[in-house]
Amino acid sequence: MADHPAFGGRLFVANRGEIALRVIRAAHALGMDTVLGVSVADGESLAAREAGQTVVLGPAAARASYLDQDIVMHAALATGCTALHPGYGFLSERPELSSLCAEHGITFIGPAAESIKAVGDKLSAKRLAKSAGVPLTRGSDKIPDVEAALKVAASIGYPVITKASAGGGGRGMIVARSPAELAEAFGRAATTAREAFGDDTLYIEAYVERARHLEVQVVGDGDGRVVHFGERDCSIQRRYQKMIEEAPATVLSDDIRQRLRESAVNLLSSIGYRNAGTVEFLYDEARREFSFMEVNARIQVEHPVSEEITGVDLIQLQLEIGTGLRPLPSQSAIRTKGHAIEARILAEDPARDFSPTPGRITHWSPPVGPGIRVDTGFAAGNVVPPYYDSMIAKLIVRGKTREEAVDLLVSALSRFEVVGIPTNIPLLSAIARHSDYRSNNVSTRWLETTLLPSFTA
Amino acid sequence: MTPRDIESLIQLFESGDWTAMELRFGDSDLFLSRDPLQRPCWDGSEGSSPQPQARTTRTALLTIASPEAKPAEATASAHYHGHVVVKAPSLGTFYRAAKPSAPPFVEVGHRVEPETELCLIEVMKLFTTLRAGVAGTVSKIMVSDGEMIERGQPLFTIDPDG
Repeated sequence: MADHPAFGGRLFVANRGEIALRVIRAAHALGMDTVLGVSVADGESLAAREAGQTVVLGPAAARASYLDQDIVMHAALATGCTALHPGYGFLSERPELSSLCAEHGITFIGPAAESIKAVGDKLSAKRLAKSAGVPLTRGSDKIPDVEAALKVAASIGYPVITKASAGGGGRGMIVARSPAELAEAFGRAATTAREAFGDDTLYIEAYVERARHLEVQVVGDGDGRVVHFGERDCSIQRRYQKMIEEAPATVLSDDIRQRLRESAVNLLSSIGYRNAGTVEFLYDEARREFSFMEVNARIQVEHPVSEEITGVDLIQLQLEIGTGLRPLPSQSAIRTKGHAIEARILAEDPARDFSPTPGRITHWSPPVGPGIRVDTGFAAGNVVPPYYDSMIAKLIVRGKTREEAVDLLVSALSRFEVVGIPTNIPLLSAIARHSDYRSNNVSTRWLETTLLPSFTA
Repeated sequence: MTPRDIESLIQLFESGDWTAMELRFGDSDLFLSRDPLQRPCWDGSEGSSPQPQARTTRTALLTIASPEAKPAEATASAHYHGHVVVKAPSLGTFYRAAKPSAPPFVEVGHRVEPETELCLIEVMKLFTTLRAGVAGTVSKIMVSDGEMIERGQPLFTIDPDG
């Protein structure tokens, strides 16, 4: 990491848990002061202890604290902050927060509001992708009714999947393998979408049976230049939530990898994208084709694996680009080396259908050693609160090859001691030891259809 | 000294009528006070201290008393020597008057009714009025005009009628 001058300025950290701590430490390394907004449930968190100042935003419920944009903005302004980092989740993809910051002279560490809007709506993002020459899944624009759905599906070919235009995470997504199934699923998907996102607009795509979730990490300077930090393979998922991610995607041939990375860069440079983002793709292993899925206009949970193979601290880079402290590196200055894997440690009990397990961690001893990194907001004695998502840590391992990284993952998981609450560590171990995973013979449905049915905690 | 011990001490303190308690055990110090402005004797500062420090002390105590992450203000005493403590319903900026040039809504010693306006709380230019909620006399004003306040922060104490 190059030396840089000490930088003034005060950063408001509008998030919690491991990412809040990550951002605070990155800011302090750059000479920035920090203010952390907390709910009353997070007043004693690790992040709160390390922040320069802590402000209580509101009660534990996220909608009255971390999700209350006016309260967050007011706290940032009242504490004299010059910049704001939204983390991931919560308000990070609300274009209004980006524009509110701009109106009040606070540097938003993320894209401009127009970019967030342009890529946030999935249908508009697909149009952008098309114009940028990025391959798309065979699919539709928005579908007004069942008749239109059946027509489109007939031309795409079954199986198809319904998707909500306004959001993801699996909600509104139903697979239909025949016209009869599609006719039945359409209404159900629209209702789910309306309940989850306030918008029942659906579109339809070809459903790929054996798919990989691949994504490319990019950072833009807001002036048209965008660089990538390699791709990630996030195919180990349960109910569309990622559990294990890795970089690079060794399933790809070099030429497809290159085209994938270039597609991501072309898409975001076409809109002059600023700061960090990820372009997500679906890779059809059988056809050896990738297609555009969506853009996440923020830093993501799994960014560390891209950091490990490029040697770049992406959070620090976000702050440097956002505040103008240094220019975006050139693509030729970014090299990838080795292999990295991240496993999400969740406060969920695989033996009880993944029910969340809030409670007090009485013993917390993450593994240490060369090539092992643990990003967490928790320490021994902390209470995992019931109000937020279940991720309590990220275990990241690095090796010269994928085989080495997988071996280290197995070893590190066996040394990850958490007592007081059940976690998904036994499941992560089972995945890491499975011959399919070790030989990288997996798909996005592998965890749920192959491993979980035979898994006993 | 475990969090549970500290919790027991706090309960003991709150149920009694001590005004302050200082404990030293090993290399830890515990200071409990009903007066948000009071400082422990080992704290170098004299007299009245900047409000944020006193607030942090009270917040830290309340967090210890709620190890299962219950909202902090639920365990805080809503009374102070029999007076009602009026707390901030949300984060915002505290204004003692309707306009910068106007006189404050209330001063110490003012009589109030439940509907009496005590202050304005502003969040991103949206102003809400905080009302007394009780009939009585204003006994303490704990925040200064234009200060940022946090949810649950004690703002006024009112000596209730009857």
